[in-house]
Amino acid sequence: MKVFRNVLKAGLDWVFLADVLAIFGIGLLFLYSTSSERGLTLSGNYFLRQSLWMVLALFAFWGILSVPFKVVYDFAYLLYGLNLFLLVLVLLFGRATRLGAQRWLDLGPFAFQPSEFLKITFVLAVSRFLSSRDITDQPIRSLLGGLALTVVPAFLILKEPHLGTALILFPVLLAILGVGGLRRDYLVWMIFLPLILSPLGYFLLKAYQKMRFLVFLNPDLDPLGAGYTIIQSRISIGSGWLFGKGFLAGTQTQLRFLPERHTDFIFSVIGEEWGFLGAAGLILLYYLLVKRALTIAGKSRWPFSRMVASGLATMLAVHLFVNIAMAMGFLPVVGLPLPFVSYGGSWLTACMITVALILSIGREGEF
Amino acid sequence: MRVKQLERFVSALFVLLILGLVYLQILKGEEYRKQSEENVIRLIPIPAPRGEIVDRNGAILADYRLVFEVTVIPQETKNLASLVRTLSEILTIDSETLLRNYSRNFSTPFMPVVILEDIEKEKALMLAERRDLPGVGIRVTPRRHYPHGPATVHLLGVLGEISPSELRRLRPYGYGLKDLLGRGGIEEAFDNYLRGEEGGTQLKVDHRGHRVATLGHRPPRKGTDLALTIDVRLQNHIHSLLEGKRGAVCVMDPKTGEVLALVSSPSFDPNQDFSELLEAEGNPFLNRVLQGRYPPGSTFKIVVAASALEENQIRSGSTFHCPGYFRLGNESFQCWLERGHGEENVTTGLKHSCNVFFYRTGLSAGAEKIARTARLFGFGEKSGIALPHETGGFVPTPLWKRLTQGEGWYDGDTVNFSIGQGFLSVTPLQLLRMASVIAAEGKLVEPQVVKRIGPHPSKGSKTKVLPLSPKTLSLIREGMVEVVGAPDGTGRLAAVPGLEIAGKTGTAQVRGKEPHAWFVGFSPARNPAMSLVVLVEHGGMGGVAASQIAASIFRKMAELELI
Repeated sequence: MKVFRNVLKAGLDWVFLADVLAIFGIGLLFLYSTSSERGLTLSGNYFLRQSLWMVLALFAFWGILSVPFKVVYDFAYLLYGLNLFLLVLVLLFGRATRLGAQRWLDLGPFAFQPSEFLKITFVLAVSRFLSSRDITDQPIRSLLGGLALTVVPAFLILKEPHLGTALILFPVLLAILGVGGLRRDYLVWMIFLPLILSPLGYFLLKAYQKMRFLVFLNPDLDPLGAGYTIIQSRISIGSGWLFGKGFLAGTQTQLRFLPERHTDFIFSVIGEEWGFLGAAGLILLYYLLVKRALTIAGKSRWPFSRMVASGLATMLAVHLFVNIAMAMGFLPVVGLPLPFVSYGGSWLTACMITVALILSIGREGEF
Repeated sequence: MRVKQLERFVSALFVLLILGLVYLQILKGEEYRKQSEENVIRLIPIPAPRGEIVDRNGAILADYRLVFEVTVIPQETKNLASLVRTLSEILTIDSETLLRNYSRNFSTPFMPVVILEDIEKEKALMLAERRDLPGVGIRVTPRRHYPHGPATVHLLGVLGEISPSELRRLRPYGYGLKDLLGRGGIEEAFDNYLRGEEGGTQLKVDHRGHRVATLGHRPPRKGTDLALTIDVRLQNHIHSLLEGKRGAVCVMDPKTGEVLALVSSPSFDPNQDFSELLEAEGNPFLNRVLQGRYPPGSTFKIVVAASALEENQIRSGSTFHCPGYFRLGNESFQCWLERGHGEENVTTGLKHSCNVFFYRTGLSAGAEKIARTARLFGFGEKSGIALPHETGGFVPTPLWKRLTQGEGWYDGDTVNFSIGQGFLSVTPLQLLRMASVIAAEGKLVEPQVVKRIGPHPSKGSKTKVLPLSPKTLSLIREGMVEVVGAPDGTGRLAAVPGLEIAGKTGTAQVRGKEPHAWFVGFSPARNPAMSLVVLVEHGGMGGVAASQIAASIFRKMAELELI
């Protein structure tokens, strides 16, 4: 009880937390919608399973909030190293999915995905590395160090393969470097160099990734194959119109025209059943969340916590931007989940840890 | 403050998201809503029974018979191969045929696929009771049936599957893929009445095309019934008379234009598979009554006589001498009677069908006048009967010959024209109208085949009163009465005791073959109730082959109290 009181008494950003819970609640509703026909059994119902994951995630959440934020700084490299080790384990002993990707570690009754946690531990490690030196004075060394800390896990994740997660590390690194004070011309180069080199990268893509890219450019290329998901997702969102077809009444969802309804394409379900008002409302809740997190980052005097809060906020923002844009067919399908909403235990836990870290920074921001 | 810049950057991303949402859900919302509806709604059509066709007394000419079909619902079958093996044993038919039908008729997983049509009732009942064949069903569907088969096929036509080009043309009128379309006869001409309105079941399906719910059901609406002017008893009698011959017969009420019988031979049975008959000899698909083109032979003398009488080129008392031949320049044209007919006037000329009399009558009237009178009688144009693919025949003129044949019209051409030979070609139906003009006091009728469409009487015949004097008409009628009634009339074999019959025979020469035999006539001679035309292709003398058939028809009509 003492722990709880300690956590609660300090100045938590309750609006931020309420926003997170609202988004999570909407997510639960739509997990219920995607699996309503399966009945309320634990084996098939994502609504129940996600609720259970939330209980587990809350343990991690309380755990982080019950220690001072300073502890996170101390353990940053250790957590990062541990996570890299787990990524190696995934490549060696991981469980393969139906499509051949090897992303999960089997832990008896459940499996978890170390790459989801790396999105956090990498932020911690990079922030600690950069906050312990003067970026303005040593731009090259800071840059190379940050890049090294990013490229190693990105490479391991790429090997799984999981292109989306590997790629997302770079904009987050960029945000941390920017907040840390990297000179503007370096930042500009960091943005434009990858754009210039990206045509070369096309040749390094795997066949299915190339296909996804081509199909993104023209979904009608293969309407029943690779283009199917994009077309059905656009139809789902578009057909929602202003008010939506009603909860549990989306034909695209309920009749299963839309694939990956409970994970990567859950936004399409919301767009279909709740229409523009619901979908735009959710986006506004997300905006409030990211803005609040960045406000916390802005208030923080300690460079480490400012970088962590900015990095994590960027991480969430990139996820939801890429996920929603992909569901609307404006970006290629790269398989990034929607924060707090897409089904997945590791991802939900990672999201709740992110929230806990930001809240923790906000609580101590004045120091 | 670098965090502020990051915040601005992130805010821009959110604006992009909202803009994307506006584009998809508001600007393109309607389009995507339609697409999502098309995703889930499927229609299973239910065919509508076609309207029935009955004769003037209500006897069925075309209805439908229920046939049993074996169907398989793909989504409910687990092992198609073994199912087909079992079915092939029960139905005693090889499994390749069943599989071929299956793949030809398959459309979507929820739609029953017909794998065998028209099985016996016993087998259907046996299959329906089998519980161990999931997905197999027996469907009862209406199939067109013609009780009188070959006797009515030219009149009624048949049904055939719609072709891609017809589908393109008819889709706006509600026709769909695999629809049956009338081909020839009443079935084609009245297809839009006879075909019903297809019903359907609207289904909601999931992403694999499996049925989730039934949204709606509209029962099919049967097509409109038709009553024809035909008397099928007479039709059948005539059909049997023409059995084994090539020819055509049509019987009509000369005043109203109601067609009582319309028979063409050879024929075929529309209830059976007739696809192999396409190459058959004698062209059984041709409706000779309105599609055959023939020289009319001596029956045309009626027109020549009318032409000359109306132009006052001859009068009732005018005579020509027939020595058995007619010399024109260096050429000699024969009369059919070698020793000659002697002095002939218009009445005896018709009675004897004297060629020489009409050579000279024709020459005095002139080809132009004869052609004009022929057109007045309805030659060279379609009769307007409500049956498809009618031909108009052809009436030559001197100008036509000059323009197309590269030479002028000679008197020899007029001579040939005068006895219905040469370039002239007519349909049996046109000759029937010609005879009816004499029968109906100068009225040219449009033949009618349909008496009622549903409960509504069909609009009456369009008639035209021809500018012919009563004198002309009565002179010709007198001649025609003599043709059948007089002991030396060419059509005396058409005579039936107790009936007053008027007629005209024709023996139309065909190069290198037996001539076509014609008979046109009507009865009773005064105030006629019916007129008829008989054609026997290559039947020899009109006075024999055609007249005998005519006599039998007159007798049958008297027996049926139609005259």
